[in-house]
Amino acid sequence: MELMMQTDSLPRARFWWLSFIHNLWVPIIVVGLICISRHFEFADRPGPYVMHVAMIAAINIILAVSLQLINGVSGQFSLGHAGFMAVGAYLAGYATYIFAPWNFDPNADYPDPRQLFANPGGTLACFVALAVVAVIACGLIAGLFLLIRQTRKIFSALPLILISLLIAWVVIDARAAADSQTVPAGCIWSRGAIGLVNLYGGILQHSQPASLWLSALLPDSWHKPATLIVAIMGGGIAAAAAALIVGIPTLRLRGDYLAIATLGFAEIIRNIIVTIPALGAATGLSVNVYATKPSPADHIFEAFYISPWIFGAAAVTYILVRRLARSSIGKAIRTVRDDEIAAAAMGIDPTHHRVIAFVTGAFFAGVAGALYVHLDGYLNTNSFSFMRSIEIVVMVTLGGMESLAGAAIAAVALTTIPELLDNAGHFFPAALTSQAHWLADNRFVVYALLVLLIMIARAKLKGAFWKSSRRTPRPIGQK
Amino acid sequence: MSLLEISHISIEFGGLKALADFNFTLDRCELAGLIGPNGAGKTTAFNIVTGVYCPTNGTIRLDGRQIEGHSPVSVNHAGIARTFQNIRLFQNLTVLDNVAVGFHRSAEHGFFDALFRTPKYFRQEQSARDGAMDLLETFGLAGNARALAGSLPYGHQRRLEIARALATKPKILMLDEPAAGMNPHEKTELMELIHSIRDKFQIGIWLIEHDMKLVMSICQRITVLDHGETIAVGSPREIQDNDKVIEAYLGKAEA
Repeated sequence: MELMMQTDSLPRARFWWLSFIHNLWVPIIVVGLICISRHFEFADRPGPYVMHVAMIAAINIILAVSLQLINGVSGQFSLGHAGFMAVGAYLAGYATYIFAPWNFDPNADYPDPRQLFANPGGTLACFVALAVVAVIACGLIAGLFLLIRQTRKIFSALPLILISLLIAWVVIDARAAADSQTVPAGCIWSRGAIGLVNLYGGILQHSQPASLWLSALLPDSWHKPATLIVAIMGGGIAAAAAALIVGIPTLRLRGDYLAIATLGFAEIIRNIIVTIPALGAATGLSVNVYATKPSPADHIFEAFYISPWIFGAAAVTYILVRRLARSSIGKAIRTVRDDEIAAAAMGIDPTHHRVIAFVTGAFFAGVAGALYVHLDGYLNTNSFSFMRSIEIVVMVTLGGMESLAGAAIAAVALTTIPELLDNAGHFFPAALTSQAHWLADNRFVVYALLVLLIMIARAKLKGAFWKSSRRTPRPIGQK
Repeated sequence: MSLLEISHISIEFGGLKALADFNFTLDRCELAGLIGPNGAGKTTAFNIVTGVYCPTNGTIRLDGRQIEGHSPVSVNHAGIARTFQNIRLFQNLTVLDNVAVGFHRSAEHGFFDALFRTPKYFRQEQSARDGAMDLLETFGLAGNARALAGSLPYGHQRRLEIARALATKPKILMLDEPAAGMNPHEKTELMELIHSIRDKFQIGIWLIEHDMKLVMSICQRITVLDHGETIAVGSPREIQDNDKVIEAYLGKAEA
């Protein structure tokens, strides 16, 4: 909302009133979405297939809008969005799979469905334990690097030499530990890593009474929603933390180099996940979902189904990203994109604002991942490949730079059109069906062509209708 | 003690000594000029003071605080704002937003306030917008507040850049060739504007300018640079009569 108010000082109550008005419609939208999705879940039409496509579209809206914040508003070119989504998906899925069942029994093949998602405290404990371990590990590594950096005062190339030696030492250490049955006493790095893993297990074990007590505090009907909220927030925060760790060294890079660095990061995430047995390694992770159709008699919280959460999260993401982009923080982020030197001379810290955009975007990618895992119930690292990142980038490009609405529309279009083409038999004459199937199978060729066409058209049109912020007339004078 | 004290600053790029033993002081409400032929090191001096370059030697003090080698961001927070030789506006933002971002301080503007639109958020946005509108009115740009900065005519863009710099509430304003590319009428307006800024905001102004008429008429004190060396310091009258300055600009007279 563009306010052009009187410049005389206004009473404080005015701002409380504005704040109230601006926030009033957020719960209205969310409750509305819950009611609509509840209606369609229970109704016979449009059926589970269409609902599933709609939910995937909503997840893609979250991804596209959050990437728009990174690529469009802040002008960085990130190709690692699928990586952040993977972080959120795997951690949230693992947390609700292992820790959310009440009194979980790790040996049971199929946990009692009534107990699924019943332990928000356990899920929280999982994320807290992860955070403690991550903070200790990152603190130690960062401290070591800062210490090594200090040695440049002695000799300018010394830090580089020391870091190379350190990496070699870690590799030799890990090899030696992997080759022997028992970890030798000399392998301090491997022992440190094992110690951290043990610390994680220890925290979980000792926090179990506390987490059960915490869960018991909530009324029964709140257990499942609370678990999902903890999982979504945990997945988002984990992705944001990953973005912070990646962002600090890579956000100094520009354009293509940042794209390569983020792409590399996404691949590293995938390859790390493949090596972790707890996350299912290469076979993938099967997690608990509530895909069963609720019976009409169920209470709105007891009948736990994912669709209102996904639609609600898409709406909330859109609103929050839009608010951020329109606030003075969003404007400061845009100044850094437009002219970094001028922004710095205005006292706007370029790195700080780039990190804000990057970390916020990654947070919502983690949220999208956390929702995705509870929708499909199965995760494989192939779902988060380079092509997934590219798909999101195409949505952002089709939507137009800086346009959140455009990105959301493109996300819906690029999700539904391939599905329509796949089911072409229902819509098109039989003669066209095979062509439609071919198009759906080769959609990445079409995406590439689309992006190419847009780039050429944009160069000619110069943002005539792609740019959302170009509503203002540009009449005055030359230039 | 002066507001800004630059003592014995020098900088070398490889073997090139771009600035050697440069000294300068600026007081509150003082209007000083920095002139010299092309390549004399004027913009380099500005870039060192604003933190773009780190000087090889020397100290810079603002209000007694050392600022040499600080980042441009912290130099700005310390109280120095500048404009650029070639206009560096945020072309895709409106005129109002260009100035309003000057009021943005990341330490004060809460991230979560913006997300949840708290009363504090509205208060801050309001005060930034009010402050920006006030500045635009001072600079006669209030009518174009909603236009994109890139769409303004050249003279307006120059003025907008000064307004934007003032939005950060500086103690010292550094103008790098503010009159470049302006016609004589615009230059006269600019001269009056610079005077009124100094009187209204009570700040020190230090400017680089090639237009001698403008420099001589508004600056109280002028420093002349040539090949990185300070060749003269003094009042406009002293500078006009200085042989070294005439030599630097026009070459040595044949004996």
